[in-house]
Amino acid sequence: MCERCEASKAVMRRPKNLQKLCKECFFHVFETEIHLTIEKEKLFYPGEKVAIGASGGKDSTVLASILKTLNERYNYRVHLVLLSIDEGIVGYRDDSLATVKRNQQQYEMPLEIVSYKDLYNWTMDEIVSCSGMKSSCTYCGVLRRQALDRGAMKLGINHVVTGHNADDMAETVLMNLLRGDTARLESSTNITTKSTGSPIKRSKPFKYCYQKEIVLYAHYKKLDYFSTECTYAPEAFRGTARVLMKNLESVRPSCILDIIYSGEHFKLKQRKKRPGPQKPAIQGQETEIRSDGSVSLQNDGNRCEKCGYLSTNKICKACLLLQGLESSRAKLAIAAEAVPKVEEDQLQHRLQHLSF
Amino acid sequence: MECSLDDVCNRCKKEPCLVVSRKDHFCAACFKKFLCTKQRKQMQDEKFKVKFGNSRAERPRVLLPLSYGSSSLALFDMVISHLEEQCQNERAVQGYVLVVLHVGEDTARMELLRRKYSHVLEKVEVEFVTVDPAVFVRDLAKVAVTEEYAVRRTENSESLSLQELLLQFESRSSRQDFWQQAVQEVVFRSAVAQSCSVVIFGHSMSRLAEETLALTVKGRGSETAHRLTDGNMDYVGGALHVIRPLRDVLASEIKAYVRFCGLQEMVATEASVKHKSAKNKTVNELVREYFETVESEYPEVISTVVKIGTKLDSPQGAAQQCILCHEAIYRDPKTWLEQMSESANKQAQSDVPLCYGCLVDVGVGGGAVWPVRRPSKEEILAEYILDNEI
Repeated sequence: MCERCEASKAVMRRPKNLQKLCKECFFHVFETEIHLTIEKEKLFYPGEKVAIGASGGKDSTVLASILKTLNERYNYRVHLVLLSIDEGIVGYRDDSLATVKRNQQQYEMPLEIVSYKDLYNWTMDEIVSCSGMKSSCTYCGVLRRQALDRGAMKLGINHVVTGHNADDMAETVLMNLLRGDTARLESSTNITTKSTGSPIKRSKPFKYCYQKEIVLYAHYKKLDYFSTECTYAPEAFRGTARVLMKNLESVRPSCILDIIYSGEHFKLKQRKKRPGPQKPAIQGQETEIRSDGSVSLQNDGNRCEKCGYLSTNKICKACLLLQGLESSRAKLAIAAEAVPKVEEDQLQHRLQHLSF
Repeated sequence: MECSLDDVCNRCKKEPCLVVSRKDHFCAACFKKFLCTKQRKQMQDEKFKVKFGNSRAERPRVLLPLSYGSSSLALFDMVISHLEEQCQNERAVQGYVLVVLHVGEDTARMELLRRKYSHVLEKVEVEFVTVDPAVFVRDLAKVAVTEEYAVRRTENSESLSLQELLLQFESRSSRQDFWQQAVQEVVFRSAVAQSCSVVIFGHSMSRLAEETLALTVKGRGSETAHRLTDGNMDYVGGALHVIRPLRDVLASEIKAYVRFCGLQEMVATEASVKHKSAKNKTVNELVREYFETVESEYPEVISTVVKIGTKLDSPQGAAQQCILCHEAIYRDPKTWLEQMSESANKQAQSDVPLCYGCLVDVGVGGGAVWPVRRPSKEEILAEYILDNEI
């Protein structure tokens, strides 16, 4: 029997607290908990336009479905839009985008697709054939972040919600420790992040939701989602952290939330400032001279000089990566004369999927 | 770590190489010296330096907790050699008094160790103490966590042994967590009882990385700075200077050191967990295993984790003290858990503060009998029964 309503037959044990629940109670509990998070963190304001980063996978599909339900139930009065990124991965993204297009019909939401090809003139397939599988996630991650922002800007939206769940959060906390990433350590568990100077904020309503519960929700609601892993395997080191998390979960089922609780408490020591020579600044005459000897032309100094996107450096990470790619593309063109680039990519893909 | 027979030590260029560490080739003597320098560096403070004349009274008493693991044995050997060096000058007096403490019942091993080092122990001043961890058991009360995450404290009339107290926790991991806390508590209380102002732990770099990650996994991330950073800590109204002199030394290097010193037979070997299923391992064992597997492919991971651990600070804000582990609580675990729980009952109030890590260990809907009060300095001095065998 369901431990909550004591009326229907329990169909599941809730991964979060092992409570036995019937289907209806699980839906209610799961949805209400997300509503609680949204309320507590004041994620939305009435009339806000919100873009849902939709990949067609389970997390973003459940996010779209739940936000639609909650928006109607609790009258948030937000306008929801689906925003998808087409990284250009044949056999993966094209299929998942088909799912998003079906979701668009099912949830009656507008859909915007931004492609890497249009934005950067590169598809992920081209990038991988150029730089190899090993760094694929680095490129994809940097480019996707910018693509989402640009897509939202195009739609006049200042808020992007993503389907990152508690498991993702915990994994990020561990990865930050393992990589010694001090820049991200303190803020990685924030539910809402916003870069200084950026009009676009991002939030993660599923911050406290177990991945297992999201899968169960999608399963019982019979949601239409795409469950294939990306063709390009995740970075090997991240893979080791994932295995560790799985093992930890088996001895300490709460460890995902425990890691997030720890992550929320991380605070770095104040760096001791060295008293350097202080010169009186003359207003309006300041010119930044960078370590490479070049001179900054813009006063705010936080825009990429190439594309105008936010950047702490002269050139943003995306432009830097693309610059590197362009130089190797030129080299490739000579070798690839016999086989045109596109055909070569397709051929490579076909070879990858060959089975005997 | 091994090297071929033809290799020669890179330092002395004479002796055959016996170990390769950090891409350098060492003979046994040079390797021991290399690791000892690391220990000396962490203990280079003025207070440890050799004393002359009448400054005997100013010598600090330094407590070395000895678990008979490789690390604490290696540290023991290094510190003894440090003291021996200090006594070479006839007019000089050793800079500090070493108090070796074993929390446990293994007195035979201590005798063995003293016999092995008898030639040095004639010359230097070292005290040996064994403390039964049972002294930890006092002021017992039952602490329970309700389904609404409220903490209830009730009196307890049963008398339980430490072993029985530990067996209340179902998971090996929680048991290990509380055992570790009990031992640490006994170490600090012994430091007070023995009037030691400095405690030197044998934690290696590998162990510190393991602890950093394990604390995070146990929801004790906020304790990292307090538990793992060297420096002064407040304890029952006084200050204890805690140092981990082997924080720059890898576990594998310590193993080689122990081998070169012929200390292997002293090491109390822990039961191997390799063949246990992941489900029966503790959080610490899983994390240790993780580092052991990634170490070969990503050798920088261990030092990276330790480095970022030392950069962490305790969160700010007024904190309550956990009734079980006495660590600071910066955010009420009940409120934190309620924010994501549909069935939260905010009316239910807690009787006593309990930190998040202990709350999870005790378990929602569970309870445990445990010491709930840390004795005062006077109580420690008056009540601690120590087997003093100088």
